[in-house]
Formats: sequence, C-alpha cells, structure tokens
Amino acid sequence: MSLLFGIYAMTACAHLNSVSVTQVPADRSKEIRVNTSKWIFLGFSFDNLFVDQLAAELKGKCQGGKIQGILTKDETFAYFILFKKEVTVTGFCVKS
Amino acid sequence: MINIKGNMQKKVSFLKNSIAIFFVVIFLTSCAYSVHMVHTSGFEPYAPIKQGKMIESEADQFVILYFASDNSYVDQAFQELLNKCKNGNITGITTKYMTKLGFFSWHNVVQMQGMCYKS
Repeated sequence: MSLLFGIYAMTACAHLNSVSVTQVPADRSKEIRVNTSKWIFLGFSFDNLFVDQLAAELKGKCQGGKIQGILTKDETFAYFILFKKEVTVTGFCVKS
Repeated sequence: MINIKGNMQKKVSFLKNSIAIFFVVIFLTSCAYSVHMVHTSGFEPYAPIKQGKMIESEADQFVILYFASDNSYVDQAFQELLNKCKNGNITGITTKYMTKLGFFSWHNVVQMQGMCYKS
C-alpha cells in the first residue's frame, strides 16, 4: 500500500486545462515553439505573470514574418503536493 | 400471512437487484460527457465555403484513476488535422476538449474541425 502511494506521489498526473488552435497556413516549413512553466506548492500561487513573456518570446523567434497556426496548450502536472503549470505554444513562421 | 410477507420480500429483493444491475451497467459504460471548452479560430484568409473541404481529427487518452503522464494526444489530433490538408490553408478551426466519463476511468478527447483550402 505504501509502495503504491509512493509511486502515485512520484508520478505526475497530467491534466489539460485548455487548448486552442488558430488558422493554419499552407507554408509549414518553419515550426517554432516556446513554453513557460511555474512550480506551485500546495496550490499557493499569487499571480500568472509567467504567461506574459510567451508572446514576446514567440515573436522573437519569427523576426520579419507572420506567426500562424498557433497551438496553445495549458497543462498542469500534479506531483502530490507540488504542481507544475505549463503553457506551450507552437506555431509556424511564414516569411512574407 | 407468511406467504404475503415472503412475496413482498421477493419483490423487494428483485427491485434491489434491478437497481444494482442498472447502476453497474451505467458505470461500466461511458454514460456522461463533460465538455470543458470549445474554441473557434478566425476565418482568414476568407474564401467561399464551396471552395473548401471540411476536415476533422480526433485523439483521445484513456485515464484510470487520474494516472496520465502527458497530454500528447493533443499534438496527435493537431498533427492529424495538418496531415489531412497538406499544402493548404486551414481556417475556421473549432477545437473541442471533453471527457467521456466511465467507471473510475475516463477518456479525454480533443476534436478539431476546420475548412481546408488548397491553392
């Protein structure tokens, strides 16, 4: 029983909070990806500022181009008393 | 008197068994859906619907008692959608995330649907 509990505590329970997709272009030769995460202890989290940097990071990877086909995933990985909130954004950089 | 009591007990027992079987059947099948979110993308570049082709993709993940190590099924659904429209634009993409509930287990499902326009 304690072994089962230990395995459960060490294994992440992945949960998808939300997902969204924008229009996908025909030119998908260049895929770009950024992600950001935040560790939360016992549910204590006082802001979501970790998400704000994502847009700038994504823009930085596609200078002079358009970013389309953006897949945004908001996930939570639970490790017993620790939680990892992760937001992953992938897209295609289309140079006009 | 004893016969009446015996018959009543049989009926009660039958009713209890029926209710138990009913709940077992309900719990063993996916009897409930929970739609968590629906998202719709824009429709640019605009084109008549007749010129496009409706494409769909779906991926799911079977979870028992919250044991799920990743959410890769989302990427699978997205990749499947892309593969159905190679070298074309996909617009008006509706993304649905839902859960089919079962007996101490469930299926997390992501469905994507969009219009494929090939140039």
